[in-house]
Amino acid sequence: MRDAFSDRHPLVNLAFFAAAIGFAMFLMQPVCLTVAAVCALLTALFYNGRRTTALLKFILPTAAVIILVNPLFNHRGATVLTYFPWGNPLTLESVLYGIASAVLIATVALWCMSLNRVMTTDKIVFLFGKIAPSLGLLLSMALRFIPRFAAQFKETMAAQQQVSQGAGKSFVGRIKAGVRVFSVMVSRSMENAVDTSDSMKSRGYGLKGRTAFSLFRFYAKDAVLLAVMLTEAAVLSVLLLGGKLPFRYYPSVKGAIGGVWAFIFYGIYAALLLTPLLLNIGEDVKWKRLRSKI
Amino acid sequence: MKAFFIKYKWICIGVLAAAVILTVAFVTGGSLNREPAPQAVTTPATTTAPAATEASAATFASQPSSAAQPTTQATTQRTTKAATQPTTKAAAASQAQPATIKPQAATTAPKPTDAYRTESVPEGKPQPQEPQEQTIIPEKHTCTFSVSCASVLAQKDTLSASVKEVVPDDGVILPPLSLSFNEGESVFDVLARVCREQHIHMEYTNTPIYNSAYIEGIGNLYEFDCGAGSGWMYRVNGWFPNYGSSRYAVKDGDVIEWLYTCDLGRDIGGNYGDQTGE
Repeated sequence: MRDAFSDRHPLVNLAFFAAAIGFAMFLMQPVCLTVAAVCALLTALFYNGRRTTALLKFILPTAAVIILVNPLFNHRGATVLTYFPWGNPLTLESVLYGIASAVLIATVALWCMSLNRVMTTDKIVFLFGKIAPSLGLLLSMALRFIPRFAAQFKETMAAQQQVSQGAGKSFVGRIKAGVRVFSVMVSRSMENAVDTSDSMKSRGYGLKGRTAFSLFRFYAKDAVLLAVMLTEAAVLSVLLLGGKLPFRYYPSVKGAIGGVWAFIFYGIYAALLLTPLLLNIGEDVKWKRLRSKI
Repeated sequence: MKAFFIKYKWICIGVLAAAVILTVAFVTGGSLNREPAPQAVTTPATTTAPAATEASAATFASQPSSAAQPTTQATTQRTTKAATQPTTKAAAASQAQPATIKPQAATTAPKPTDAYRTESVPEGKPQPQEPQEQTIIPEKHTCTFSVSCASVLAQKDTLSASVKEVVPDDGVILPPLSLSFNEGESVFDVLARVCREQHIHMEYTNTPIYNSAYIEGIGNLYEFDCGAGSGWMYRVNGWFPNYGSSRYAVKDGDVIEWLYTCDLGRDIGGNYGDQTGE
């Protein structure tokens, strides 16, 4: 993926996603949830395009299950709506909390979708290769594993279908074929892993004094962007820890939605989360302006 | 499909047989709540006999009728299902001796308990009544009922805001109330009914091992809200029963109090230490 945000230094990318996912996981305040969900959805649409709808097919049912399950097992809350047949109350607060946690999990999943597109393997190895070589290699291999496994699974399946014509007709035959392909894939992915680690070792990966070539350079504008994002995150943390945004769901939904501090918080939070999109829009505007002058 | 059955005949039969055996063991055993008797697995008939004598000899044995015929029961169970599984035997053995079970009598000498892990009830106090054996007779009696969390007030300043919100200023969630109940109702039944009528929030879970409901929270004041030793207990006529509220059959004129404790009952006069009476 090449765009104005992905072209920034990997450290900037990592810092952004760490902040976005970190705040998304801890903020249950409804306005913050909405801001984060909208920003995450826009960013995911920008980076994944049409694939987003396919992935939403997994995220939305998960969210629905959470919304249904929370009131079934959580009966806290001052507002009793009705009673379950087994005697425990269904409370308004548990329903609201279920919705909030469903939105939260969907938001984190959407951020992770964008993260997968932006943080490519080379960036991860670059970031962690010096500090923790084996961790960096492991991370990059793990992140690559699932798409690669799926692609190779299809390959193996096609090959097996050609080799054993007609074996996959009955139910048991199909199961047998599937198990065979799966066992082939297990050994194939093990071999891949061993190959990768051997190859990296023979190149002296992780040795002392070894230098690594990379195309990433930490420009002044990266430093500025990183500083802006860190300042935003720091202000948000201070506001949160200072109790400027109290909110709780149990025993009754109570908290601050409005107020000066709350609106300052929402503004900074939105600015932080929209960083990738704003960078790209800025780039587009610049490009158009320069072109019109010619 | 037919070819499938012919090819895997023995596997199918084996799976079905295993399912049938497990179902029989589950239904006849009915002993998920009871302590397994490990030594009974090998020879159920011989081990049940001393257990029965212990039960009849002990003064606290509350169900002598069930202890009277364990040997015959065990042997019949064994002959019918001898070829099945050790679990079936263990289930049959533990079913045969519901009155007293002493799993590790040699090592620790624990206090004798009934099938639901209740130690002996003090002299003159009502014995637990199993809720599933009770029939509700619409015969009106009256009892006095109250819910209080006064013990929290001393530490109210240390509590979090969400807990403070649910604690009333005087600590009384429900002032003493004279109400009518039907014959055969338990303290838990009365609590559940009163909470619905008075629009008080209440959450419970069923604990089959004690054959009773466990009250997690009343009026949104939950267990552990006031420290690790806090939770709800009940007192009837000044006594904290040592068994669950679903097993306490309410009698005419009983004074039932639900009290919140912050220290395993010590602050409200219950003295079991680690044993809570819910």
